[in-house]
Amino acid sequence: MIIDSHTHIVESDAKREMEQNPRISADTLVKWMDRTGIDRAVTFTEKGLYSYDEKENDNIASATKKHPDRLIGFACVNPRYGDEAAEELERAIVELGLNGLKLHPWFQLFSCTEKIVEPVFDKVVKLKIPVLIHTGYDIFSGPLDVSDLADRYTEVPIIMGHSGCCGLWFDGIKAAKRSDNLYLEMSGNLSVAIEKMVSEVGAEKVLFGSDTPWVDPALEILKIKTLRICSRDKELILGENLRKLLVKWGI
Amino acid sequence: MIFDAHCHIGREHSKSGSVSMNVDELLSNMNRNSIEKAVICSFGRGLTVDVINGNNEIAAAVKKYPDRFVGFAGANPWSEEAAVEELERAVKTLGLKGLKLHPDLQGFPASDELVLPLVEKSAELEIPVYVHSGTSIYSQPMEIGEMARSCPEATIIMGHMGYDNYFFDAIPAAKQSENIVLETSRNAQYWTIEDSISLIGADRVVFGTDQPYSEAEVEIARINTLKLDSETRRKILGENLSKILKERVRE
Repeated sequence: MIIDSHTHIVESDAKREMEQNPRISADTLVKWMDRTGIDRAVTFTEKGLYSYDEKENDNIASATKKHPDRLIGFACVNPRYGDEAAEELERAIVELGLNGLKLHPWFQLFSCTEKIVEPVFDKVVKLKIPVLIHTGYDIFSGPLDVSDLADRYTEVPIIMGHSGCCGLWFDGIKAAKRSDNLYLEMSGNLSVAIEKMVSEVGAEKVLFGSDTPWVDPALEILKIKTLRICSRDKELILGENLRKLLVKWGI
Repeated sequence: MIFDAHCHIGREHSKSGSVSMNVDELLSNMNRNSIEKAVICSFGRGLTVDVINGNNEIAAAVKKYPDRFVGFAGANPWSEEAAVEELERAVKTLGLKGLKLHPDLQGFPASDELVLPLVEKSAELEIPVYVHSGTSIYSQPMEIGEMARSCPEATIIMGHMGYDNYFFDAIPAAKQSENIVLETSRNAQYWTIEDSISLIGADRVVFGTDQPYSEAEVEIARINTLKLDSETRRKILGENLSKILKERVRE
């Protein structure tokens, strides 16, 4: 079983810096999943990461309603909007039926160490949902910033998207070692870094993610399959861990 | 023929334990993936504080398998005149055929003139300069662009073409300076490679794996996901690099 913890739906004209901007609808995402053998995927907005648009949460909700057996929708709000963001999060979870929160400190211009995250995180505690936070070596996204947040909200499961990326994976490992509520999502990271996550933190804390459509999910699956770790650990990473966690989180 | 532009031999001593690869491991990976030849360089100590031994080790590996390996020298810009002398020794006495620079490991901004004596010496010796790009802030493609502009006679291979945080700058930097060649390893955004072929030209893109950080199988699969005509594919996978090294190398 393969469960992807990191995919985006891109249906807007929000352009990133590169020449190509692959749009991916919910239907196309499911087709990509069929092509690469991915059973279920956590999905969230792209546009909503850099523009505050409540309609993006509605879009993700309709995507998951269309493919309830395949897609798990995470909401996106910008912590900079404080109470307003917390209210939108409650609407997205309670009314729209989304199952978690995606944050991107770099695109949303906040640090996890700032007090400004508190209204949203107090709501996260109340709603009992997991949070996936982008990490990397870009500004605001250091794994140790997320680690500080995880220590302040020990009851919140936090998935570290990309686990610090290839520039700061060693900090991701340090953080995950000391915080039970931190999980390492490996998309875009190095093979050797994932092997170190397994040997130093344990395969149970490592989750497969692809970052579709920015990366071809087939390559990320191949990356797991070619790791020098036992086949049981590969199964845990590719899907078993997240399957169990989704049950634990009531999703 | 597949000619890999970027592999490491030796051991990296880093904050989170070590990553290593010996000659036999690399050769067996190359054989398994039909990689005929590979550029090898040192990492860790051999690239930073112990370059003389690093270069000797690379030369010994090349001497053992002259048909399979091409060695690139390490030299630390902070060693100033001694670095230039060591580069000359590595090329003229040891027979190495390129220079490897790693701004963030060696601790200098890629745009700093500290590095210019080494780049100018490389141009004089008619060897290419491979520069790591992406991580960290000192290895930005636009900084490498400054390096390339300062010495238009040198061939600068931009390793990882900006990587996952600076991929959008790789093509603009290469557009500014015709002496920049882009290397594909670890580039998660597969379309950056496609764009670089259409915008910079198929003659200025070279394939690399970055072993042991990435798996050869994954890196080749990445190239295979691109829609390339057979001539472009041949150029990227080996012909371009053969040409750069044959034309630039003094026998």
